[in-house]
Amino acid sequence: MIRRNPFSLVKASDFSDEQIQELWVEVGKNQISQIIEPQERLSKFILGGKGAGKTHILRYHSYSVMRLRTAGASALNSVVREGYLAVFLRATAIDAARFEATSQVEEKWQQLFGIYVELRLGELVLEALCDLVESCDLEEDLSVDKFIEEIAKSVIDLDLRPGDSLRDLQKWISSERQSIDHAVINSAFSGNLNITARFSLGGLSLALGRATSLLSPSLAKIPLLYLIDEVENFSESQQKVVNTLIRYTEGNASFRVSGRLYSMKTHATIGGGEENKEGSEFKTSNLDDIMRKWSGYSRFAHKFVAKRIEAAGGWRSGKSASLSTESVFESVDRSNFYSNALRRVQYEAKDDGGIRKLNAALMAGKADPELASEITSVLTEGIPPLISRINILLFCKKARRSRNLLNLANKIAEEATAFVDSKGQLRGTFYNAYGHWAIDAFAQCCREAGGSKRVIYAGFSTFVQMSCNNPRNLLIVLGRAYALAAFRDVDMLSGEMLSIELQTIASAEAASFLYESDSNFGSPSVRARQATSRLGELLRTARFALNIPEVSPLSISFSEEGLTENAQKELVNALNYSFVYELADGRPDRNSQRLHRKIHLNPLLAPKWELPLATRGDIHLTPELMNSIFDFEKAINFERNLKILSNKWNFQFGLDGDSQRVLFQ
Amino acid sequence: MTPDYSIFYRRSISVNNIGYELPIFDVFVSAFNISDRVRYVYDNVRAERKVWLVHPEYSFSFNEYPEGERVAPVSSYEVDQINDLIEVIGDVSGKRLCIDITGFMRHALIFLVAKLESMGVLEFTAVYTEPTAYSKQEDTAFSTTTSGRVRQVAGVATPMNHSKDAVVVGVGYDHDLISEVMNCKDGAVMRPIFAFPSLSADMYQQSAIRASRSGDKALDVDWMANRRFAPANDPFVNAEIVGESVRALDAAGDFNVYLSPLATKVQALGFAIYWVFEGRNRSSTAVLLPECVTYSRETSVGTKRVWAYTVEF
Repeated sequence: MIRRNPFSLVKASDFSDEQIQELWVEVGKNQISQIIEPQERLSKFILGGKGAGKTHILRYHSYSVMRLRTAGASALNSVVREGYLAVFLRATAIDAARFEATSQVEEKWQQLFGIYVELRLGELVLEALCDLVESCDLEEDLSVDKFIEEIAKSVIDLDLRPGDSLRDLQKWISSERQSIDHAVINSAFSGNLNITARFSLGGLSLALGRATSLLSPSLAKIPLLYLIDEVENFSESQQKVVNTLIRYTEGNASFRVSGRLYSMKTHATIGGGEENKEGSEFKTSNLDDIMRKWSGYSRFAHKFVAKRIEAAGGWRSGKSASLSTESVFESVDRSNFYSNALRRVQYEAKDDGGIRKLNAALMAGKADPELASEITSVLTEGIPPLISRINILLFCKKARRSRNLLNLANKIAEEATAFVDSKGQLRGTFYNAYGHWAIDAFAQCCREAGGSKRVIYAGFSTFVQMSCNNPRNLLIVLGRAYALAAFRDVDMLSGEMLSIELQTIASAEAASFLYESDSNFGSPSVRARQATSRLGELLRTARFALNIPEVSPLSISFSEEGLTENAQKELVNALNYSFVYELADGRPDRNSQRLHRKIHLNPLLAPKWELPLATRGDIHLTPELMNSIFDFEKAINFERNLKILSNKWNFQFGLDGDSQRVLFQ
Repeated sequence: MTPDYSIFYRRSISVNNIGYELPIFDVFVSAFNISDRVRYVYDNVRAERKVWLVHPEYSFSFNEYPEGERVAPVSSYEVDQINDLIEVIGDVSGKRLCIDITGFMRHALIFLVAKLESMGVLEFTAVYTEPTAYSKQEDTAFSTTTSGRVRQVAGVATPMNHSKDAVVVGVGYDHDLISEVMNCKDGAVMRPIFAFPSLSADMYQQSAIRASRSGDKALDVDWMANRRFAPANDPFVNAEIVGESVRALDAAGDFNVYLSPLATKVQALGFAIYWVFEGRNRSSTAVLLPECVTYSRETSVGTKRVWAYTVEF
C-alpha cells in the first residue's frame, strides 16, 4: 500500500482549515501571545523568514479555524471565550499587480486598491458574522439593524433597510467588489476607469470594527483582527495604503500583517502623509528571533513530527509504543574517536589529505624536507586518524608563535596521546580542542574517504539542528528522507532504520530543493542565490582548509560601512529568501567596539557545500570581500579574493613561486 | 454548450513555399527577434503592409531595429504595447490580417487576441514557425529575467469569487516560471498541460525534466495524476484541453481558475482562444503570467515547419 509522505506538505497555505487545526502543535501560550497579541489594540507586523510559521499562526487564529477548535460551543461563545474575532486574507488573493500594471501609478488606482482590500476584508468579516448569527440561539440579544446603521454612516448609497440581514450586507459588499473587478478589466480595453467608490479609505474596515461591537453586548469589547499574510506581495505604493489603514485604526479593529523580514518597503502613509512609528502606530515581532531563542524547539519538533506521523496513519508496527522518531534514523557512531564511523565510510589513513596538505604547506614555506617529514610523522604516526587531523590543525594554529616547530609537534603529540590513553576523559587543552574541532576533522576525513566522498549528515537530532528552529525546514528534510526510504523499500513507519548514507543523500536533496526550486521569485532571487553560492564556496574553502580559520565555519561577520548599494540589496534579498539568517546580537569589533553584523548560512543549505550545522565561530570579512560576494557587479573579483584566502588558510608558512603565480593568474 | 474546436482551420505550410501557400494579406505583423525563422517568414509572406513589433523585453537598441515599418513600444505593459501596435496598423475592420506569433511575448499575444475580438475583428491568420531545435536543449532559458511579480494579463479576467485557487499551467522549458507561478499561488491546486506531441521527439522529455525542477508540487502524485497533454503546435486542441481541465475542476469544487500558458506561443494562443470562447463566460477565471523584464533574443536553431491557423471569432 502506498502511503502519503507524512512530511510532504511544506506550506501552511497548502493546508485546509481542518489540517491547520489537526497538525497544530501548541508552541505554548506565552509564545503565541508574544507573537499575535490578540488583545493588543496597536497593529502588529509579524515578520520572519520563509517557513517561520507566519501563515500557520495567522490562519490558526482565523475565525474558520477557531470554529473547528471550539466545535460544540456556539460561535458567539467561542468568540467570546477566545477573546477576539479574526479574519485571514492572503495578499496574493488580491492579485494586486493589476492595480498598477501601467507604468504610471495614479492616485486613483492606489485609492481603488485600498477600497478593494477593504471590501475583501469586509466579505470575510461578514462571512464570519453571518455564521456567528446563524448559529446563535434565538434568545440571543443581537442587533443587526444597529450593525447595518453603523456601516451606513460611512458608506454612500447603502441600499439596505431596517430588517435586512447580514447576508444582504454581505451581498452588497460582494457586488461592490465585483464592480471594481469589472471596472479594472474593462479599463484595459476602454482606457477609462469608470467606478465610483462608495466609501473613502478606511470607511469600511474601521466601521466594521465599530459595528461588530454593536452587534451584541457580548461582542462590545471583542477586538476585530484583520490578518493579512505575505505583505511583500504588495508594492510600495500599496503598502502605503495598508500603513494608512493601520494609522487610522481605532476602537476594536486592528491589523496583524505578516511578511518576510524585509517585506515592508515603507512605513509611510498615502498622499505624502507621515510615517508610522514603531511603538506609536505599530509593533513588530520577529518570528525568527523568537523561534531561535526558544529553548523548547526540540520538544516542539518531536511533537510536531509525531502529529505528522499520526495524521498519516501512525506507526505500523505492533510495537508502536516502543518506536520513536529517533529510532528510525541511524546516527553517526562517535565512539572511540569516530573510528567505527571512519571505517564505515572506508577512510584510509594512508591517503590522509591532512598529512599531504601539511607537507605541501611546509615545503611551500621552504622548510627542510627532513624536518617536514619528521613533524608530520610526530603528529600522526600511531595516533587515531581523527586525532592526528586535530594535531595537524593545532600545529598550524600554534606554529606562528613557536620558535621550534619540532618541539611544538612533540608537545601536541604528547597531549594527544595522553588524551587518547584516557579514552577521551582527560580534561585539559586537548580535551577542549577535541570538543571544538572533532566535527570539522571528521568532515575532512569523510570527504577524502573512499566510501562516501561526502560529509555525513545523519540522525534525527541532526535534522532538528539543520532546521534551525524553523518547522518548514524540518519538514523539507524529513520529507526527502521519507521519500528516499520509500523508494529504497525502507519501511520507516514499521521501524526499519534509514542508513546514514541515505540520510546524507536526503540532506543533499533537501539543500538542492531549497536552493534551486523553492525560491524562484524572479531576478532578485536569482541574484540572491548566486551571492549565496559564493558565500557557500568561501565557507567550504574555510572548512576544508589546512588551518580552518574558525570552529564550524557557517557564519560571517562584517561591518556595514563600505558595502555597496547592490551588496546591501542582495543581502536583504538573501535574508528575505531565507538563504541566510541574521544573528541579532552581532559581534563587537575588537578595536572600535562598533557592533558588526553577523549572518550565517541557512543550515538546511549546509550539505550543498558540506558545511557544519552549528553556528560557532564567525569569519570576519572585509567590505571588499563582502562586495565581491553580494554585489553582482563586483562578483568578478570573487575568485581572486577566494584564492587569496585559500592560500592564507593552506599555505601559512609562505608561498613558493608557483603558488604565487597561481594566486595572481 | 462546449465549443467544437476541431472545426477550426489549421494547416502546415511548406517552408520553401510560404509565399504561395499563404494568401496575400492586407497587413502582416511579426514580433522582431534575431531568430532566422522569424526573419525568414517576414521576408517570404506576401502582404500589402508588413509591420514589425519590437517588444521592449528584447532590449534592442535603436541601431539594432529592423528596417521597414515598425512599432517599438517603450512600456512592457501589454495594453500599451498593443495599443501602440493598433494605432500604427489603423482600422483593421474587413482587412485580411496575418500575425506571426513566433517572436511574440506571451502577455502581449494574449491581450492582442482579446483586443482584436473586442474590436469586432471576425478572423485573422496566425502563423507559427517551428524550430529544428532549441539552442541549449533542456537548458534553454527563454525568459532571461523576470521582475518577481506574477500578474494577471490585463483585461483577460473575470472577478474571483471563491476561496480556493487552481492553476492550469502550460508546461514548457522555463521551470523557473512554473516555479514562480507555484510560489505566487502556493495554496493552489495545479493542473499541468504538457506539450505532447512536442515539436520534436526530444522536446517533451526536455520539458518534463525541466518541469520536475519547478518545486515540490511538480513531484507530487497529484501533479502526475492530473496532467493532460496537448500538441505543442495546435492552438485549438490546447483550447479544448484547457476547457477539459477547467470542467474537471468545476466538477470537483468551486475554484478560482488561473490559466498560465508557459510553453510555446502556440499554446499561449490556444489559452487565449479558450478565453474568448469559454473563459470569459465563466466567473473566477484569469490568465496569469510572471512579469518578464527581458527575454532571450535567440533560443532556437533552424526552421523546421510553418503552421497557419485561422482564428475565427
